[in-house]
Parts: sequence; C-alpha cells; structure tokens
Amino acid sequence: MTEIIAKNQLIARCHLCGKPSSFVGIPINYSASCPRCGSHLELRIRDSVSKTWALLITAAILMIPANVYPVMTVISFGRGSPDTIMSGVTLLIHHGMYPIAALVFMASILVPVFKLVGFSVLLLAIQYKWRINHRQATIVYRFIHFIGRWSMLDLFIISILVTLVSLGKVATIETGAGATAFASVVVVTMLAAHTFDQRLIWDLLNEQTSESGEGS
Amino acid sequence: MMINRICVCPDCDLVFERPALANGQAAECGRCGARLCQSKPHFVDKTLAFSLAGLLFYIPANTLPVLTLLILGMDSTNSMMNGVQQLFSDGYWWMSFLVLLCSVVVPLIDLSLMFFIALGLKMPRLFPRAYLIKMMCWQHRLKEWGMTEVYMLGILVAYIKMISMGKILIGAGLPFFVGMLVSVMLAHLSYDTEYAFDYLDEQGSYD
Repeated sequence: MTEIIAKNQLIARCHLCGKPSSFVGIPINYSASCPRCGSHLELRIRDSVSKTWALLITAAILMIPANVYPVMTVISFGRGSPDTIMSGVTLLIHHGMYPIAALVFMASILVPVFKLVGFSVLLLAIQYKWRINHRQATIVYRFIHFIGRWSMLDLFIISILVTLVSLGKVATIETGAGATAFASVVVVTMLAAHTFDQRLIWDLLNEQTSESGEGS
Repeated sequence: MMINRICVCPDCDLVFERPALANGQAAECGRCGARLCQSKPHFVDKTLAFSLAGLLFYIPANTLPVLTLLILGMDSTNSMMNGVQQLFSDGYWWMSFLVLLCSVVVPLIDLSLMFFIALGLKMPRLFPRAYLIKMMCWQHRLKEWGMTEVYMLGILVAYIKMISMGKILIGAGLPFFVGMLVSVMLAHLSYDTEYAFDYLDEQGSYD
C-alpha cells in the first residue's frame, strides 16, 4: 500500500473547514487563505514547536504562584485560613469527602501537570526525532486536547462559592491571588494545544521511512 | 489527482479518496484513527431544534438562582451572573472575565450562531453566503471556550462541599441550566463544521 502524504503533494488541509487545497506555486513557508472559508492556510503550523515551547514554559512558571498562593479563604466567625489548591484537597480528605477530593485533585493538579509533561515529551520526541509509537503519541495529544477544559472546574467552584457563602460574620469565602495565576495556566495550556501541530508526530514516521528506504 | 475527490486526515496528513457514506456512517483514518468525514442525517433540522431549545433555556438558567445556602437563619444565593459580579467587585477581574466568557458569553454566542447557521442552511436566501461562512468560522473558533458541562460539575461539587455547612436549597435556575446543558451537548453532537461547509458547497451549485 502506498501512503500519500498531503504535505509531499503540496496539499494543505484547512484547519477550520477541512477543505484540501493545492499549495503548488506557493513557497512552502508562505501562508495563504482557504478558498472556501477564508481562514489561514498552511502546510504546517509555522514555528509550531517553538511557539508551543514558549507557552508551555509560561504555563510552568505560572504553576508556581498558582500552587503557592492561596486560591480561596473560608472565613467563619472571624477566623479563617487561606487554602492553596493542595491544602484544599487535603482539607476535603480530612472531611472524608474522598470522591470530591479526587475530582478536584485530578482537575487542578493532575490535568495541568499531565498537560505540561505530555506536551514536553511530544515536543522533545519531535525535536530529537525519537522513535516513538506514533499512534500512541497521537492518542496522548488527543487526550491532552480533550482534558484541557476540565481544569476550569476549580475556578467555577470558586465563583459559585464566593456568592453562595457570603453570610457576613457567619461565613464568607474570599478569592486568593493563586486563582488568577491558575486561570492563566488553564488559558495558556489551552492555547498551547492550539499551536501544537499534531501532524509533526507523523512527519517523524514519514522521514524515518524515507530514510530507511534510501538506505536499502 | 483531483483535489475535490480527496480528503486529508486532520491528524496524520494522509490522503484518502473521498468515501461515499451512507446515512449516519463515519469514515476513520486507517493509520491514526482520526475521524475523516461523517454523514449526519437531518443535521440542519436537529441543529435548529437543539440550539433553539438551548436558547429558550438560556435566560432562566442565567438569571434565576441556582443554589441557596441557609445558615442560622441567614441565606445567600448563587446564580450564574452574581458569581461573576462578586469576583469583579473583589478585584479579580481576569478571573471574572474568564468565568463570564466560558460559562455565560460563549454558550450564548455558540447557541445563537448554531441556530442562525442552521436557519441559513435551511433557507438559502436568508443571509448572504459570505455572512453564513463568517458565522460558521466564528462558531468553530469559539465553541471550545464554552464550558457549560464543566460548570455543571462545578455546581455539583459546590453543592456536596456545602452540605456539611448548612441547609442548601436548589434554586429554580438549576433545572433550566440542566436543560440548557443537554441542549448544548445535543446541538454539538448534531452540528459539525466540516459537514456544514460540505452541505453549503452542495447547496451552492444552484445558487
């Protein structure tokens, strides 16, 4: 079976409407507009690797204030202790709310960490031409893309709780500076999922097979 | 190679001959498993129905109280909008902007765009073609930022968290919110950007 790669045939698939267009006569690094929907048309996202690295490093830096500063403070009868993301989870465990603790832990800690580590591994594999299982790498990419939005959970919970628990001296909940940093982590990692070009994973395979083909 | 007879895998860039699909069938890439194209029977009518339902649920879902907490005879109420207001007045404008965008603004724009796109596809003379294409592009770009389902989980978690603090009441807004959530999900299942563009192409021939 001969596999035809669109890029080698100078065919660019529109990222928005899916229409394949011919790139013949246009220099490879140039961009054009899709004839059907008018959006930006490229054979590959330009500088995808460096753009994604930049966003990932930004997210990694923002993770520090997001986890060090408190995200919210519960003040009950004048006493209150600020809670960071992690101490909020341990508090839930102390109260015996294990499923909720697991949920918040997954959404606010596991998902961002998994996104950072997953993207870093994919980018390193692309840069250093590792021999990876391309199908599995694609599944990792799809999974990261899918779970990204669920990190917003903690921010929604805070926005619900600040109004739900505003009972003057009895109990109030205040937002903390960590929440702003965490919101930025979510946005930046979602943008990273957009600048990452998943076709680069398979370009690796195409290069490897063409190399071994030449060798034999 | 005819450019109109092929489709390209979005994830691995493999070129395929455009498959002929029966109603409800979908084609997957043999190499990476990505969805190549699908056939969606009654897609215009379904999208129209579900997005209209979502829009009807939208206003009560966003204005009526969702949860109310009672402690020692005092109560405070949460609705979609006052959480955003509270965050903004506390000075967390970036967070309030994000919550407003993802839970209030984008779902509204998304639902209205899907409604008008489906209406425009049903009645080809309603909008100029260029407007319809613009709407389809914006719906595609924005839909990822609509997080109704994540907000629903947030309501559940907040509810369970607060059970131990006092009496917690479910407001009239919650059923409408659930209705909106279901409509949004069904509308997204029945609407697909690429399919809508292909549909528009076929329609354009007699225009």
